[in-house]
Parts: sequence; C-alpha cells; structure tokens
Amino acid sequence: MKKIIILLSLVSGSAFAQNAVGPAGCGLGNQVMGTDNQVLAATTNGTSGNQTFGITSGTSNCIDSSKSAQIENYIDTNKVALSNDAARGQGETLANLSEMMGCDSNSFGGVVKNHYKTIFNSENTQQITSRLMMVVENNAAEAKCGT
Amino acid sequence: MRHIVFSFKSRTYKEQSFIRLLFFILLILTFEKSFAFDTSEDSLQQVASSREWMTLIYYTETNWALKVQSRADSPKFFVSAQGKTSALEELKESLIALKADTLPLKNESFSCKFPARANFINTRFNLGYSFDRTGCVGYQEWRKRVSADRASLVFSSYYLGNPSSSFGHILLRLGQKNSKSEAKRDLFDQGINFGASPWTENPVLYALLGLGGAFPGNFIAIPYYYKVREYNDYESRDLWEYDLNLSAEEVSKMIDLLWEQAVNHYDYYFLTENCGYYIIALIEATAPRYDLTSNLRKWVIPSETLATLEKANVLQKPVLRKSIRTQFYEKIEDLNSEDQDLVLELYKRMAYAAEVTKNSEYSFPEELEKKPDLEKAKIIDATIDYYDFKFSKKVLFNEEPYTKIKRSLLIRRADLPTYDLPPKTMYSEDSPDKSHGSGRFELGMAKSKNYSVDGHGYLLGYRFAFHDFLDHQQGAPQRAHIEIFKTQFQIEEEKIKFMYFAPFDIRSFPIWNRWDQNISWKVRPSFERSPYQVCPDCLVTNLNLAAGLTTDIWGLDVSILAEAQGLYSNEINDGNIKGLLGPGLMIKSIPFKSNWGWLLEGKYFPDDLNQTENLYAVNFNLRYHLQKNLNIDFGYTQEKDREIFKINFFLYHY
Repeated sequence: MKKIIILLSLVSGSAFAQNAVGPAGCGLGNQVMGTDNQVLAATTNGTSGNQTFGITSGTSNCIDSSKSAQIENYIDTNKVALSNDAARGQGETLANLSEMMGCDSNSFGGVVKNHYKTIFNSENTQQITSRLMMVVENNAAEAKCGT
Repeated sequence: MRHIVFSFKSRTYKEQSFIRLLFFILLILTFEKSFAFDTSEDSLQQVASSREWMTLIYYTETNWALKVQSRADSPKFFVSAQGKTSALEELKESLIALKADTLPLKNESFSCKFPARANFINTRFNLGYSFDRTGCVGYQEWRKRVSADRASLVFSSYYLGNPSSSFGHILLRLGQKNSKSEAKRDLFDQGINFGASPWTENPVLYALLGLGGAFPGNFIAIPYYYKVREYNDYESRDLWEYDLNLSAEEVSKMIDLLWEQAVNHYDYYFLTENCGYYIIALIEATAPRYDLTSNLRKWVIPSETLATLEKANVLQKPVLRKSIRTQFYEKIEDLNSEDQDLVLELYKRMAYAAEVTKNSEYSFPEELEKKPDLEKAKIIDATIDYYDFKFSKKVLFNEEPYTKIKRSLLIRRADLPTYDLPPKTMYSEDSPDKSHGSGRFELGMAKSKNYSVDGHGYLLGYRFAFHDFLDHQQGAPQRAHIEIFKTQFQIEEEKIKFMYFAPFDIRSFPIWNRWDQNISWKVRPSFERSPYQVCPDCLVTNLNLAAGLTTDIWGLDVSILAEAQGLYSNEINDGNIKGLLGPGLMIKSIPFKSNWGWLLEGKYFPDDLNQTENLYAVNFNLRYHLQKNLNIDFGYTQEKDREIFKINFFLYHY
C-alpha cells in the first residue's frame, strides 16, 4: 500500500508536472517511425534511430530513472499490447507492469480488467497512467500491491 | 568515500606498530619488485599479445602484413596515438594513464573511461589497486541503468520486406536472472543494439555507402520492450532469445566493455563488419575463452553467427518470443471453422468502418452475440491480434478511427471471462541456430540432348549464401529463396565451361489465404548460358522478374506467375535484346517435416506475345536430405530442342 501511495505521489507530482518523459520523445512511434530515415534504419541490419539511447547520453528524457517516469514511459511505449492484455486480464506486458508496481500479477490483472473502461477510455498516456494509479490505489488490497 | 584507494589491500600505515610498519615496507618492496618485473619490455610484449588484451581492444591480424589492427575506428578509443595498429604501444600508454589517475576519480579519468582495461591491467600486472569509482558519475549512471547478471543473444527473424534484413538481425539483451517466475521482468531488460547510423535517406546511396563502410556503427542501449514492440508487433517478426553461458563476473565485464564503447564507433560494412560481427567480438572480449571471430566467414550473416556460437557452446536453450502474427495463427488454429468465419466477419466490419465509412460505428455479427461468453472471448481475442497485425502502423500511431474502433472491441472483451492463453514465450527447437549452412558446394553430373546431339559433363558450383525452397527447413526462412553469388560451371571433354552466375536471386512465395494476402515475387539478375535457347550455346545477361500468387492445394504450394525475362547478348538475332513475357506455374512440396521435397516449374513464352517462336521451359527437381548439410538433388529440364538430366550433391557449410 505504501508503495502505491509513493508511486502515486511521484507520478502526480513530478513527472506529470514537468512532463519529463512521455509521448513527446520516447514513444515507440518515434522509435521506429519518426522519419522515413528511421524506418529504414529500424528495419535494416541495425536500428539506430535518433530517439534510441546512446550509451553516452545520460541526459535523454527517455531514460529518466525515476520509477514514475519509467512506468509512464513503459505505458506509452507498450500501449497497444498493454491495453490488449488489460482487456484479457493477463499477459506478459501486464505482468511486467504489475511486477514493477509491486503487485501480484494475477490479482492486478483482474483489477485492471474489471476497471478497463475507466483506465483505457482514451489514448492519452498520462490519463491512462493516472487512472491506473487511481484504480490500483483504490483497490490495493484486491490487487495485492505492496504486500 | 569519493576517493580512490590506490593502496594495498587490507594494509594501512596509520598504525604505529613497528612490526606492522616493517611488514608494510616489505610489502612495498615486494610489490615494487613484482611491478618492475611485470612491466619489463618482454612482459609488456607478452601481455600485449595476450588473447585478453587483443580481444579487449578488438585487434585482429591483418592478412597481408601480419600486423595487428583494431576494428575500432575512433581515435578516442585509444590512449596511444599508435593504438590502432600497435597493441604494445596501447598497453604501455594505458599503463601510464592508469598510474597517472589522480584522486578522486572523475569522468575523464582513465579508470572511469576504460574500466575493463583498467581492471585487466590491474589484475594482469598484479598492481593491487582497488578502484573506488564513485566519482565516475557517467559510469555509475550506466551501471545503475544496466544492472544485470544475465546476458542473452536475441535473433530477430528474417524479414523479406527489406533486403538488408533478409538474413535476420541480432542484438544483445542484458538483465536479471529470473528467480521465481520466468519472464516477468524481461521487458525491462536493456536491449543492446549495434547498427549503422545512416545520414542519407536515398535508398541507392544507402545501399552503396553501406556496402562501402561509409556509415558509422555504434552500440546503443534501449529498454528491451522497445525492441519487442518494434520487431514482434510492428514488423511481425519472431524473436529468438538465447541466454549466454557467461558468469555474472563476465556479464559485469561486458557492461564495462559497452561503457568503453561510449567513445567509439566502427565503420559499418553491411556484409562484413555488421551487427553479427561486432556482437560476436564483444562476446569474445567478454569471455576470451571462447574462440569466435576467427570462425566467422569474411562475410558475416547474422544467422550464421548463431551457428558459430552454438558450436562453441555459448548458447543456452532457445526461447521463441512470438510475433503478433504467430500469436494470431496460434489463436485462430484453436478455433473451429464457424468461429474462424466469425473472426473474419468481425474484422471485416471493423475494417470497413475504419477505411470506408471512416467512423467508429460497427456492429457485432448476430451469430457472435449468441455465443457463450468463453467462446465469444476467444473469437474476440483472435480478432484483436488480427486487427493489430493488419493495422500495425495505424494502431501504433493512434490513428483515428482505427484506435477508437479497437478500443470499443477491447471494452467488450474486458467484460468477458479470462482463460489460459498460450504464453508469449516458449522453448522451441525449431530455432535459427539449427539452420543448415548457408554456403553450398555443388558437385554433379549432367546428361543432355541438345538439338539431337547427346552430351554429358560434370557440374561444379558454389553458392555463397543462403537458402532455397528445397533446402532443409529447420530454422530457415519459410517459403523464401534467397541466394547470393551462385556460380556454376560444367566440365565437358576436359574443358571448363561457364554456365551461370547470379549476384542475387530473391523469391518470396508466401501462401495467399483468407488471413494473409501477400503477392509472390522474384528478382533474379543473372549471366547464364543459353537460357530458353534464345541463341545456341551463347552467354546471355538476363533480368528475370516475376509476380503472382501462391496458394495451398492439397498440401502443395501452387504458384501462378507472370514471368518476364530481359535478355541481352551479342548473339541474339534481331538487335541483341530480347524481352520475353509469359505465364509461369510452380508447384512444390516443401520438406517442412520430411527429408525430401520436390519442385515443378513451367514457363511459357508464346510467339504472339513476344514476336518470336514459342519458347518454354519445364523444370523438375527432387531433393533428398541425406543430412541437413548434405543433400542429393535430381533435376530434369525440358525446353524446345533440349532436355537435361542432372544429379547433384550439395554440401553446405557455415
């Protein structure tokens, strides 16, 4: 429970307010489709689009190491697969998120599925993230988070 | 804490005890002696030529001068100005740089920039330094980001949508070993990609410059889920993941080696120094006990690097991470035909709303509404995957109304029950490391009847790479024919006669069915002897193109094609150039599960279409796999005034 509250405060406080990370620069779309050139790069022997993380670049907003930013970036990049898993109540993408949030994946999957319409009623990553946090906080016991 | 301890392990000079001081002095003397011994010219030369140092700096021996040269192409990667070509000078200067490091260590310190080298020199010369790298801010961030005790090699399967991905692609994955539950955090691992950074979008320039090494190649770290989404979902390519047989210490060294790449780049050559080569070189630098790069061919094919690693026992069991397409087929094959029809009907209604009416309104088929909840869930699950597979780009970019249509389906799905879906990853033995060798020697005999003249000869041939329809199928691209640099000769009456050369011959013949609608196509430029008897015993330049459809009839792949041949030779009558157009038919039984397969191919070029006499060719091949890398092929060809029998042994190599 504590973890969830901390996560929620982190998300609502810093990452959202400062827009440190999110759809603007780190999404999969930018990764594989940012420009034609990146499409070319992404499908050839090696991908090296501009949005990828250079080993040297410690300042890219894509690698904000705070947990809230990681969660939001994860949701943004995995939105399609995650929303599929959430509607089914199971799946690897959902289980990884559950693990990251310190929840039991089966219980977490059930809660997310039951509140699917609330959480995924738009494509906006920040809204999805904040609603997910809210749902998980309100159902922390059922989702077995932070236990 | 922010200082380095350039001292000797477990000893201190703060204590006043005479005995301890004496011991300390003795220790210094011992150390100085060993240091002096270890840094003699002979010793330096010995260390510089050691396998550890050579792999650490990516030195290779050049063939022509027996000199070493590093593959690294950035001067910043070397401490010595002669570092690229002198392992000894690089070692000497590195030793000096290490000794010159001042406390506390900073980002610019040698021990921060080159931690793997510093650790190696420290250990090898028994210097006894214990590095405190808390001041190496960048390095610390990197280590924090890549906290791993497991390294895996990931192979992204063949992708004929882009020629340079036809041979697959490999990358690395660094993460934590799964303890309790498998694959729960795999997506949060770091993917390590080596790729070119092209600065042009022109495809011709891109190809030419890429072949010539004009683009820099770099290692890039990115959360693994990006790569999964890109390959599995966006390009619908299966991923094969192999944990590497590396200890936790070796994985730690690999992370240090990658950090050293921050100041480096390599000239990226698509054929020789590509992702396959440099990832193998990195593994070798990590664990010099593995002899890898010397076992690679000059032209490095990513899938062949898997065979090299498998042979050296570097790879653990292969794990298949299924693409969205594979997941869809898995689900659809689990449904009865009525439910399959409903999947297609539901998808069609969604696609119609998205592409024709362009609003998000569509209705569920009545038959679907009547189904029990569990069955309905399975039908919708298959439809979800199919929609993502067909509209991968649209859903990725949140294009409306595609997204809204999908969302309404998911909302319906969320109200239905959960059931056990097949896992996204699974162990599978049908992996690309099991693929046959891509190089092929051909040795055989031919008997021909040409214009009523009997003849016979011996056949010699070589194919540089990679796979044809009848080669062994395990781990190979499905329903694809990708041959590079195929050359054939015939020996007749002690004379060697050139018969055939094709720089490349690419054919993609996927099955056209209700779920996948991809055309079959072929591109084959060649230089060959007397094709279709357009001129007797002449050498002809040919550009062969074809397009058509392939379908499954009684388990056979049946292709109907439009064939085009552009022929040029001085010996062709009427202007040296001849264009041939006509229908083609190919029927083949691909040896997916058996040791043999066959292929029947016919082409007809009618006179009224080509303003020449009727020309045709019928070709039949029967292939038997004595072993995966040893096949016997029986061939028969009939043309207007010629028939040829062939028997060939094919010996494959990596």
